[in-house]
Formats: sequence, structure tokens, C-alpha cells
Amino acid sequence: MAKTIVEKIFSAKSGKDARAGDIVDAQIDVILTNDASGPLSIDYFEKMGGDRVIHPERVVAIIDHYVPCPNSKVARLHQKLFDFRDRYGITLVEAGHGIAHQVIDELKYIRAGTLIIGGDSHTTTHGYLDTVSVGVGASDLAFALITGALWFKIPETIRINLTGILRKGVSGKDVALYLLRILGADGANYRALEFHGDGVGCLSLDDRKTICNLAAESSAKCAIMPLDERALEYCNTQHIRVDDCVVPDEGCTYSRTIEIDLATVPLMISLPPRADLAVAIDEQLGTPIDMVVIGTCTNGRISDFEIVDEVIREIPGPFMVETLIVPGSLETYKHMVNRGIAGRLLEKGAMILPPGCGPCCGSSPGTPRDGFNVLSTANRNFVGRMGNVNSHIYLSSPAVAIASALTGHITDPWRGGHV
Amino acid sequence: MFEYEGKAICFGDDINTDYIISSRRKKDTIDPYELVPYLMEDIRPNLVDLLVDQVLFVAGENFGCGSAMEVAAQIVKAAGIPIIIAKSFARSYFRNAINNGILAIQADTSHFREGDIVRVRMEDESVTIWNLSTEYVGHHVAPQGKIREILDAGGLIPYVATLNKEELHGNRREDQ
Repeated sequence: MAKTIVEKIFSAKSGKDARAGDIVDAQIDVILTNDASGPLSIDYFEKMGGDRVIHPERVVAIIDHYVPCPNSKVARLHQKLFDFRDRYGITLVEAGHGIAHQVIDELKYIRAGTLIIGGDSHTTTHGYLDTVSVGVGASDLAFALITGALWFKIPETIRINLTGILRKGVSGKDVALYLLRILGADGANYRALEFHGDGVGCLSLDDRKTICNLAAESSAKCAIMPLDERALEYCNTQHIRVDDCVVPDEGCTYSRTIEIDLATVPLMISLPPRADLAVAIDEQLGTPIDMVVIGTCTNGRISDFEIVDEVIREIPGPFMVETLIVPGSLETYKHMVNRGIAGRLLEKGAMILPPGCGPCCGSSPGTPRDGFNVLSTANRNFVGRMGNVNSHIYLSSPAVAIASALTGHITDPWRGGHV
Repeated sequence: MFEYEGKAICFGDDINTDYIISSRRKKDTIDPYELVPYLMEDIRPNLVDLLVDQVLFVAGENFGCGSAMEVAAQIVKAAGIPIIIAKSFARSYFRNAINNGILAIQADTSHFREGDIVRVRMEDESVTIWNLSTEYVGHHVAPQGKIREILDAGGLIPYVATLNKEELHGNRREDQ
């Protein structure tokens, strides 16, 4: 019988002829953790009687949530990760190198046809290279450290067909929010997303990461983009193996199919307090903004800051509001410095924070004041998400966020940005 | 057989893990017992006052969406709440709940109101839910297979203790 990608990868990783609905024990290729979930996983590991990590070469812990370390209590949690590395030989990436989802990409752990788990819900990001990449809790992660495997219920798949070409200035973030509005906060719960159509070809690899990242907000188990020509070329230049790449069988079963003509996708804004409350920017132009945050695992990449740079070169004047810039990785930060982007942002009054998760979930500094409207490029805007329940978080692309920082209200950078 | 009776604390749809326990609190501790005073603080201040009674959670769709952080399941257990009944659960929360020995039951919860007295009985094949305040009774299929084994053990940690070395590593293929 014809299989979806998720059925094929779980079949390969379990050695079973697996179908949606089946429960299988599957071998894990990459285990990703961070300083938010990692210390708890270590607790579980110890309580389970773990005395070795079966495949330490497959495990990466990245310190990204609490950066730099804010207090002695977190310092002890960080120490746990260092001790675990010393004892069991896993890889640890120290604070300041960036967000886990960006760093393991740069370290080339992501390869088509693999099964990845992460102690972080935005592990869905890595489906952009034709993988099954799933966020799990700390206890599941500990179990996988000990056994190398984990049980999974194989999800049904929602097929997303993308056609057409994005309008100028519209980005992967806008596509992601547009899709999220269609799916809703639980629209993909217990399901995989699979992306197809010639529209995928006009999306950069970074746009694809953003879309797979935000799939978590529709509660998707994973989001998968089969390799197309552009992705194959990327893997080729990056020397990433593609021999295990997977395509769905013709005639496989999808629980739902969603068609999106990319040419109809507008710039999007998510309203507080839910990412799926997404509307076209036209409905929100002029909404006053008190603080802007650009970064996070959704939109903290080099290409995001290149677009930011394009906008600040076009709209004169300083930032009108507190503007926090959080490079997604040290590599991104260095690029911003070398290209003069960091300098131009500082000239306009930006605060550049160390590479990491930043204020996105209130783990690192950058808490908004009472009554603040924040415009952020992150993926979540729940009440209190950034550490203050009396602030309101709007979500947008980096282009819209930076243009709005220059005007003090929600602004379309390509339509009367200078107002 | 497992039976429990408690007062319902009710929530709506899409209760995310940040609402269950805010990430900002995890800066001070990840000990779920120390975090209990902050359980649901952003959407239900003073919820902790209700914990003097024997209680359970009743919710709408997609309970536990958002982050996969396991503290959001541990804290419910630490608060003495062994059962969550919801129309549906976010998949990562469902796993975390089971792994911590919390009985997560998917059921129609539209018959429940805040403060209703609810009795839950889990047997080999079935889970029965009585709303003693309204006399509503619901019958459901009990969790089976691996999920049931983990639940019966009391969570993933005691479950691992029931496995021998071969079972722990037995599913490893030799070519890996």
C-alpha cells in the first residue's frame, strides 16, 4: 500500500511495515536538547537508572534559553549539562553560540530521511530537509538517551499544496501565519504536515525552516518538506548526504489537503494572545507598538537580518521604540558585523542581545513593561509569554517588525513605510 | 482497578503549557513541588487555594498545547492531581502526562462545570466517569498496550525499572 513520508521514515526506523495509527519502537538518529529541558532529562535519566548513553555521538545539548546565565540557580542547571557531557561523551554547545535549532543546522546534524527528536516543541523546524523531527518531553528524551529508541504512534498526514509565487516582501513567516490561521491551534494535533507543489520552489531554505518551525503552533507532530531541486542544490553545496531522501508513494492517504496560492498571501500579523489569530496587515496598520523583538528560532537567521538591513536603508531616522535584536547564532552575529548590518542597527538605537532564545519565553532579559504592545518575530504570543502578563504580543515577519520599529506603529515596509 | 473522586476545576480550549507554568518561573527552580504555587497563575490566579480539596482537571480541546516542557505535567502531579479529562490533548502533553503517571482521559467534557464532583474508575478495558453533581455517566475505552503499561507502572521511571537490559536495548538493530 502507498505510504506517506512519515509512514516511510517510521517504517525504515522501526523495521516494520508501519501505517498511520500503528505504534512502533523507532531508532532515533539525532537527539537534541537544551538548557530548558536538558537538566530535567538528566534527572529522569538518573532516576531511570541510566548508566550510559547508548549513542553519545547522536546527542547534542545546546545552551540557548538562559543566556548569559542569569543567576546561581540556573548556573547549577547549566553545570548539570557540562557534568553529563564529561561523563557520557555527548556534544555540548556553550552559551552564546546560538539557538539549538539554528546551531544543529550549522553543525550539519540534519539529513534527509532521518528521525530527530528534541526536548523542545520547535524541533519541527528540521523537517525542512525531508526529516521526521519531533518535539518530546524530558522523560521521553531520557528514555531515548538510554535505549536509542522511543515508541511513536504514526500520525496521519495533512498535505499542503503550495502553488504560485510570493509577492514582493512577503516571506515564509507570512505563509506560516496564513497556514496557521487555516489550521487553528489544534488543527494538526497528532498529525504530520507534508508540503508539496511548485510553490515550494520559490521559498528559500530559511523560509522553509520558518514554516516548519511554526507548524508546532498548529500542534503538528512534525512538518516535512521533501527535497526539491533547490534543497538538493543546498545539500550539495553544504556537503549534506541525500541518499536517504524520501518521497511519498503515489496514491498514499492524506487526512486532508490544503491548497494555498502563494500569490494571494498578504503580509500577516498575529494578534495577542494566539499565533493562529492571524490577520492580513491591512487590518492592523497603525496599531501602536512600544517594543520590537527580532530574532528567535523562527526568524533569527542571516537572511532575516539581510531583509531587516534592506528596510532600514530605505526608511530614514532612528527607531521610535525599544528595539531588541537577537541573532539566532554566533555565525549569524558575525555575519551581521562583517556586513555592517550590526553597525547600522546600532546607529538607529537597537540593543543587540547575545545569540540565543532571548526574551521570547521570558527566559533571558528583555521583559516588556506593563501595557506594552510588543511586535515580535517569534512564534508564540501567549499571555505572559515574555515574562509580563500585562503586555500584549503581536507577531510578524522581520520586515514588518523593523519597519514598525522605525515608525512606532504597525507598518507595511513596502507601502508608505516612511510616514 | 483505579478509582478517584474529586472536585472539577474547569478550563477552556487550547490551554498551553506556558499557562500551566510560566517559563519565567523556571529560572528559580525546576522542582515541580516548589512551582505548585504558580500553577495556572496567569489564567487562574489563586487556583492553588482550591487544592485543599481533592480535585481533578477538566478541560476543552488541545489541553497542554505549545511547548513540550515536561514541568507542565510534573507540576500537575505535584499538585496532587492524578487525572485530567479533556476533549483532546496536545500530543506532547499527552505523552508527558502518561510518562508521569497522570491518567489523561479524552472525553466529552461539555457536561462538567466548575466544582462538580466527579468520580473516575479505570478497569482493564474501560474507564467510567460519573458526574455526581449532574448524574451524567460516560463510558470510555481504557488505554491499552504500551501506554497502559507505563500508566500501570506509575510512569516512565518505574516502567523502565520493570524492563530488563535486553528489553531496554533489544530493539536496537545490529547494523546501527
